[in-house]
Amino acid sequence: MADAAAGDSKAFGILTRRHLRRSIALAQRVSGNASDAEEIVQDAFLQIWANADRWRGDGTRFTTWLYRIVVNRSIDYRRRRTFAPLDAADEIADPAWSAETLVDGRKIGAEVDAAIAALPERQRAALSLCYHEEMTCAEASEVLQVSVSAMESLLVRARRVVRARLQPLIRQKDGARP
Amino acid sequence: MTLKEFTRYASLHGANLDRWPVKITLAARDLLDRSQEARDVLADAALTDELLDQAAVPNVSADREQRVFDRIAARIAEQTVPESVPWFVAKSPIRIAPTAGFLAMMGFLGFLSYTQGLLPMPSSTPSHDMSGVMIVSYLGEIR
Repeated sequence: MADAAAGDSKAFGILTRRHLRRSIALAQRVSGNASDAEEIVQDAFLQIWANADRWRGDGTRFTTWLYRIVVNRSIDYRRRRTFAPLDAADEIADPAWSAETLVDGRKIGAEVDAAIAALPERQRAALSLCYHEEMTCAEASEVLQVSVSAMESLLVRARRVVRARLQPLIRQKDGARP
Repeated sequence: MTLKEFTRYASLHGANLDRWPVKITLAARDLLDRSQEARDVLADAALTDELLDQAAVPNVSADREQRVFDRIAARIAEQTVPESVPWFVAKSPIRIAPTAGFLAMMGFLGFLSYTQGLLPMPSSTPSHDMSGVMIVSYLGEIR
């Protein structure tokens, strides 16, 4: 990063390749849209390149800076598409699913996606960072620029809300177990 | 560790104790051995984890990654100013022929104006009328 901050585009290319895949995945999880995710990540890296000389390297990890930009941009993009998660949320708590439908893993996956998509944006970002990106609460709190305790609250609430929305599935799973 | 604390950690980190803070793992395992309620809480968290695991994993293929990388590289290349440009490509900031022509024209017009009396020129003979002159010393006094 120090080389990239000095204007070395080759070094920046290496840095970009190293973090590109995870950044796209994170952007897609938070924004909920694949094509938006590509634009978000592209803009994020260009922003970093434009401001690379401001990088101080004073203990702040590069990924924290990168993910902060990616998450904030993803939230902005998401706000432009506020209608999508509401449409998806209508289908979540339908108690009339048949056992055959529940067995279908793809259907369950879609329901889980919809439940996560319906979360408030910061809870969704918290879940993506801590659960899917496997960051610690302390690391994720730096990305979202909140205290560790606030981060923990976001995460607990996110899991609780997802769980509540998927309660019919959980009941079904419990019932299916011997 | 109390059951309340255990429940809080389970709802925060899920059922996988490896993801819990290391310093409390031992106490958590100890409580699990002793408490059926703790085991129920952990089983409950495991169900939520199981569902979260079924969320779609974003498909970031190598092609997609390369496409985004290429776009970033292209945008950076557009923004980058080349360090040196060959002399036969670069335009000099001042082009000699037009500049010299303009200066020659201005000089010629000035000469014509002077010789033809088109412009009123100040007299070259010195004037001795000092009535309007006021000398101010460096100390500000009027003499």
